[in-house]
Amino acid sequence: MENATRGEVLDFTHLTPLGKPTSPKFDEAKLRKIRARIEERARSMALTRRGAHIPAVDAESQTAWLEDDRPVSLDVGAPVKFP
Amino acid sequence: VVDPLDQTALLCDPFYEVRPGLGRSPKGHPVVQPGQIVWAHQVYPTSRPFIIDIKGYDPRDASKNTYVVSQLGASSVGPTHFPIKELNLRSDENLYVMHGKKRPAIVLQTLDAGFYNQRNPEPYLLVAPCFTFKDKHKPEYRARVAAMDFINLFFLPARPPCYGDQGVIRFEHIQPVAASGVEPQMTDGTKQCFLSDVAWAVLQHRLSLFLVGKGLDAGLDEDIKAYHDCILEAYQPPSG
Repeated sequence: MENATRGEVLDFTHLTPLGKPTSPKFDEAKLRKIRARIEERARSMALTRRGAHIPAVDAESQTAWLEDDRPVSLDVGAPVKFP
Repeated sequence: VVDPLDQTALLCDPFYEVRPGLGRSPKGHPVVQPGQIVWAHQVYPTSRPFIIDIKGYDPRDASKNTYVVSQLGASSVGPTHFPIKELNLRSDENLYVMHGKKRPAIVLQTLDAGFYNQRNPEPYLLVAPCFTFKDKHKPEYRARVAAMDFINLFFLPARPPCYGDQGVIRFEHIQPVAASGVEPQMTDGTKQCFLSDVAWAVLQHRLSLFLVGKGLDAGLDEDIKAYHDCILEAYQPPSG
């Protein structure tokens, strides 16, 4: 309910029924051809899902990045005051 | 009433695929793959940063520390406090407060640091969050999204068990998430959900267009334009 006021009775008098949904008319034959072309193109792209692999690792330098990934240490249960 | 846009075969068939699960890493994290549907905690940055600031500091007893929510200006730079050992924070770091939600996402990239670093795998994944359409989103708007009218949106048809409601990927919300915090979208407890190869390729093409202004395959651009026109022709609003 939009513009409702806490404690007041909800007003449903301005509700209107949903409009009749549009019934799209697809050109099925055209769509089938386009879909086939998209599939062919997509397959020719031959994308992989292997993720990014790092062939060379400088272990010493890599460790330095971990300084920015320190675990957050929080006092769970500590109260937080909202201004 | 069947929503015509929910016909998976509109762009490609299938749009989603169910495949055997990928198991877990030696550290116990779920192993996931680009193109996979996962659930992950994702956040939305606030227009001005909110932080949890330390108010009262007791060096002898950290449990007596008190905290307040503070807001930083967009121009705030430099240290805002002394280093806080108990919070593991340096002087120029803060604990930020943001809205967030556990929602479905498509994994865009994983990072494998290789043989020499297997004991410390990279802890993050790059994911694209999925948003469900709101009731206010009219069929014509949804059709425009499905037709790829908007460079930052990618349509996701509803097709349980992989994706329950019609929705979109919003490229502007792509973000890293903790690898240890994601859960693959499962079916029957053992299988997992992925974009099909064709849907994955079209997504990559559109993401490239969003990021660098050019798709991966010029020919695919032409086919997507034809697809766009075909969808929008079918959704022409009644004249008069």
